[in-house]
Amino acid sequence: MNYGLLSVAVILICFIFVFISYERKKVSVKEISLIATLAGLAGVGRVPFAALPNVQPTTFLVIISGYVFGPFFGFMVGAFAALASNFFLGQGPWTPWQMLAWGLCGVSAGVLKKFYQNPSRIMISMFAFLWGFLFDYIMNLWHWLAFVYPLTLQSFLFTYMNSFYFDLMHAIGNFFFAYLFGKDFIHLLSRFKDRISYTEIPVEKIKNLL
Amino acid sequence: MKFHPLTMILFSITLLFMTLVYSHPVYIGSILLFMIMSICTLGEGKKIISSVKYGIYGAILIIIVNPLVYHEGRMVIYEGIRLPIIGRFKITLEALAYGGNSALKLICILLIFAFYGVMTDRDDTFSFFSKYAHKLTLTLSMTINMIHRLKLEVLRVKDVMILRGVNFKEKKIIKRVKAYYPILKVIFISSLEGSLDRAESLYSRGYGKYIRTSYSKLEMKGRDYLFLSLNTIVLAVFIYGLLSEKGLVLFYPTFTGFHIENLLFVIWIDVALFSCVLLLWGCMRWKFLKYKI
Repeated sequence: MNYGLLSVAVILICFIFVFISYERKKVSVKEISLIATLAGLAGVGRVPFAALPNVQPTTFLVIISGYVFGPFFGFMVGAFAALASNFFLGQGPWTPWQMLAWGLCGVSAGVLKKFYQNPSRIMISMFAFLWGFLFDYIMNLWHWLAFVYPLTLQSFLFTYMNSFYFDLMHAIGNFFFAYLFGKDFIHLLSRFKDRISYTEIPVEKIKNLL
Repeated sequence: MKFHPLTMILFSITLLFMTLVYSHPVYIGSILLFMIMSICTLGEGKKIISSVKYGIYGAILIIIVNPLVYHEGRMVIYEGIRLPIIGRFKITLEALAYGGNSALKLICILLIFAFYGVMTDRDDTFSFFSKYAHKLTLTLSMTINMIHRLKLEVLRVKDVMILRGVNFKEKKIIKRVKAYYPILKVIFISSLEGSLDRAESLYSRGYGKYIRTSYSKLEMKGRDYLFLSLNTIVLAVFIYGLLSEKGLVLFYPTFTGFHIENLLFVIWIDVALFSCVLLLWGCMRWKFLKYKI
């Protein structure tokens, strides 16, 4: 079976479903604008650090977006950051996988908030550190499925071993970004979330109160 | 000279599936040659180098990993000591050929993306998708716009900070991080404030209330229909070939791609693909195809 082809088909179908749900969802213009801004920030963060291999604040920004605004928002920020920044850095077969990896990164940060409302600085940093490895592991998966034969534990380990130092650089970069800016940026984003959130009170309810 | 996005999306998907399904290096080489010729015909040869350079690391990795982890194959080139994880150090010609073939596939896939970029206009792609997925297209175009704005914003804030006496060229890395920290924070806050302003501006213009206004209509031209017809022929030849197991080979225990029938069928694929190049060349040179169709 052609696992490379199968994985591309599965990932494309998943994206079609996610994007259809985004189209159908009641998303306000403020949310659209905020997703675009955070994705833009995350995307532009890839450019100045291009000289340092695999050190980029993108993963950290996607994590805090997902943490503050929730899993779906986090996924969209991650996916758009990858898609938009690759218009400048180069589109390729890696784009859907980057979209998936950063999207899942945002989702997991949103899920983290459900369990830890007020995580410590070190905990956020460790979470970002972990995603440095996870992101690259997802990226390596397609490489292994599509281009390596046979798909054995040995070839899997060897493929992953080859990128270890790149993955480590990504993880260390994430750790420092999260440690230095994590708490501050979460507070800032939470304040913006409060500014755009509102509760609709039906007219009948107000009339009853009067 | 650009084509309709739908024409090129369908054609790129056909090429992508062909590249992923075929395992014969001659078939993959034909697709690669077709794309190089098409991109060069349109005078965008530089795009080939810029696209391929992103995949070089991956291609080298594939060529190295395959022979090291898989030791099957009849033609042993080198056999040596036992190593951890890898096991017995043995390199076979078949494993090396499989790695080379996979690297060729990767380069081919990279060029499909470059091919799509050369054949279509980015604005046309946005217009095409905005018809069916306007929220997605709006978010994406705003994100791309933000990346441009932020690049300029960083320079502006940096200039202000330099005027205030901040030294960004500190030798100690901690001091340099401290100098850069306020920039990140200022950019972060100002871009978030800007996002709210943009949202209010969209809201005040009535975004999302009624059907969107469209000032230009994207239409399929005659050459798009011609290209789609050729795409159908390529797809038909590809499916027919697959049903008779053409373009599929085994590398282990020995390479099985020397059957004359398998090698001859590639001519049909080439004829179908190179008629597309001929159409592109015609569209560039013949006034009739360029302006009338």
